[in-house]
Amino acid sequence: MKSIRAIAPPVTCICLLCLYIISMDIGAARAFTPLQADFSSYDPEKQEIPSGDTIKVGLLEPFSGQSASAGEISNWLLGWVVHDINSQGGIMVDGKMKKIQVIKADTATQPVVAKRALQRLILNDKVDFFVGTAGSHIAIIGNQMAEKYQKIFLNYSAYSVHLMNAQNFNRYTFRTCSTTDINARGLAYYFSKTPIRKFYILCQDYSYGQDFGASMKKALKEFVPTAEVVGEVYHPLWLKDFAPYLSKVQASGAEMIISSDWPPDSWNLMLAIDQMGMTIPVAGQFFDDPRMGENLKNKKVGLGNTVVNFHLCNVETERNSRFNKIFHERYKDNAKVQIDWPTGVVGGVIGHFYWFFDVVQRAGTLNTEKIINLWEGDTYESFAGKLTMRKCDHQAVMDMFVSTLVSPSKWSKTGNGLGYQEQAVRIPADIVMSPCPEGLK
Amino acid sequence: MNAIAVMLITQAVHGLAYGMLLFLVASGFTLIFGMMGILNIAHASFFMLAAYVAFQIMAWSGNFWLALLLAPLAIAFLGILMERVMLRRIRRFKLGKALVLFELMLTVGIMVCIEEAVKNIWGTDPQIINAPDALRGLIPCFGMTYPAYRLFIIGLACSILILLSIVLFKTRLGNIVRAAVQDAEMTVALGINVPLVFTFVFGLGTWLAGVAGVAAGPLLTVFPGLANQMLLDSFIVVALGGFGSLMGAFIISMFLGELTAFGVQFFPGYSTIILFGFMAFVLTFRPLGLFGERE
Repeated sequence: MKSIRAIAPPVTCICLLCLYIISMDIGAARAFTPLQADFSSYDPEKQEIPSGDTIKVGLLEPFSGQSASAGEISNWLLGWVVHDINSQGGIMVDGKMKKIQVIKADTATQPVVAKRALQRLILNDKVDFFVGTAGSHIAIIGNQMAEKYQKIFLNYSAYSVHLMNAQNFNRYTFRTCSTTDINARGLAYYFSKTPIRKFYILCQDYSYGQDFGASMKKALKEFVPTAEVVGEVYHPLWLKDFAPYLSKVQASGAEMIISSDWPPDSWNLMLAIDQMGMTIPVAGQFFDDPRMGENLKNKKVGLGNTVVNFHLCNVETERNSRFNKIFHERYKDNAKVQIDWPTGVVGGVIGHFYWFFDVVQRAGTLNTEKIINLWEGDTYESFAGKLTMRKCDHQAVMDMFVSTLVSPSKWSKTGNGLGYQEQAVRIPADIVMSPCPEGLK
Repeated sequence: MNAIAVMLITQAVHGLAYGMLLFLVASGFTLIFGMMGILNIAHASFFMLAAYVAFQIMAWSGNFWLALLLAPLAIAFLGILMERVMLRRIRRFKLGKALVLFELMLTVGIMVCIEEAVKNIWGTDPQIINAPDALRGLIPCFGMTYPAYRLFIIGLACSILILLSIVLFKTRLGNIVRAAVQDAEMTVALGINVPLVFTFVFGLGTWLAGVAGVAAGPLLTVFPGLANQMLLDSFIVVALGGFGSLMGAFIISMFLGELTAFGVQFFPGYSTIILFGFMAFVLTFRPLGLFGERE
């Protein structure tokens, strides 16, 4: 009896230790890993809605109005990640495996509508987090509501540098995409290595476009002192006729247009260039859309377009190659989806969603404070490279990638049309990142 | 020719081309209001739907001319259906002055239905309609070169303006239409089928929206926001020109086109202020618009 009493404590300890190790193993086995699902069955229009106790994520995007396609693309990308994670059982939070449920909210790209939609998401649908959104003027509403209701807001697609300055910063918003400053510095650095010196700034007339124009001028001054900005015009959003602007560009003798435009403006600009018989290339973030390239009749239009992004499919890493393969396999024979490679924003945003859910997984809880504490300073290996969440302003620190469009390109839909050059140019984070905004530590 | 002259002429022709496109959209809008008193908010949606139908016809046949022929006819058919099944029915109720409001709400409903249907059928991705090969490239014009397709728009709109003027003011059909507008009861007493006349006018108005939609296709990407993109401009044209005035719509379209083009050239950022300031000024002194006669 005495001997049993003597060995009981160590045996109990060993048993407890074994149980702990086993539970850790089970936990590890239950942790999701990106790109494990069978994506052949994934259809963004027929997404499974999990029932029961779920992690509710609000998707704040335009699903109506001029920018509806931006919302549908975000829904497709978030759905991709959610499909992957849910098919692996979900995420272990607060001791329970929970699947992710996406609840869409339509901003119509209008601040008033966005505010109402967000209130519904938070107060009625009781989402745990919300993510978005197209338009910096909408993201600012997201910032305010995140702070008011103490909900984490993942901003993956609003780029205006002012969104996270000392005046607008709040500890509940995290931005994983680049900023107008970062994009401009990436482009300017790239141009410093090319002979192009005459630039025309043609951007949309709202916060993002104006910020990009200002950032671009500053970055050109720093990296390409011999560069000349031969013209600068800001046009209304969703412009109907680019011809008068292009005549000005033509008269200015510019070698390259620099533009912040996104669809449909970016498409209409390229169409107008085509129609005016011009071939001037455009540099920006959204001039690599394969849907546009495949449809332009003059095959010289779009050649030399220069794109800057936080992800490009022609960045050579092992993880990116695997991602490219899986994505391309899914969409190469799909006539409905013209984006069959995970191009800039498409691939990048998917990577950022994985990062966010990975943080939640590691936090093991939906507790806002715990997630914030874990994410601040966190580092994640995404498809194209390392991402770090800067603590001072919750801005992701990342390398940037620049690529010129060529034809034929293996990255085009047909395999011999307009697309990226063979490999993107990597511009290290220490070149493109600006320091923490004044007033933030 | 010196560079400044080339620039001025180019911008003038850009303004003309955009103005003509606006006129194509606004002419049907103002025709329906002028003849029938219906403020058809769904007009811009018919314009967008025509662009989508043209895109589909192009996808099947690859023939732009076929699309330009068939898509407006399909839209006119839908317009006729809307007039006969909905608008005519709502007129049977004795709603008095409230009729205008109910008609307006009905057309808003149809606008939303069309937008949602378009999204469900074609998705939200922008689509491109390519101009036919004959209209691609540049052709010499005013001592410079200019995109052929934009010149085609100018020619098309001019032809339609002339055709409409002849039909409305020089033919027996035009006389009947104008008589029905002036005094419907008297016209019925003369043995003329006035409801059929109104159906014809509504069909003609939506056909014009259809022509504009197909013509705009190669200039703009086709996407579900296209209707909203054109609605405000065409409404300004109709309001400033005078509801129901074809000539007013034409003159204001030209003014708006030129203001846009020269605004970009000389005072970018202020053209919108000038436009809306001008609108406020005109409506203050002529609430019915520059050439408007009908309230």
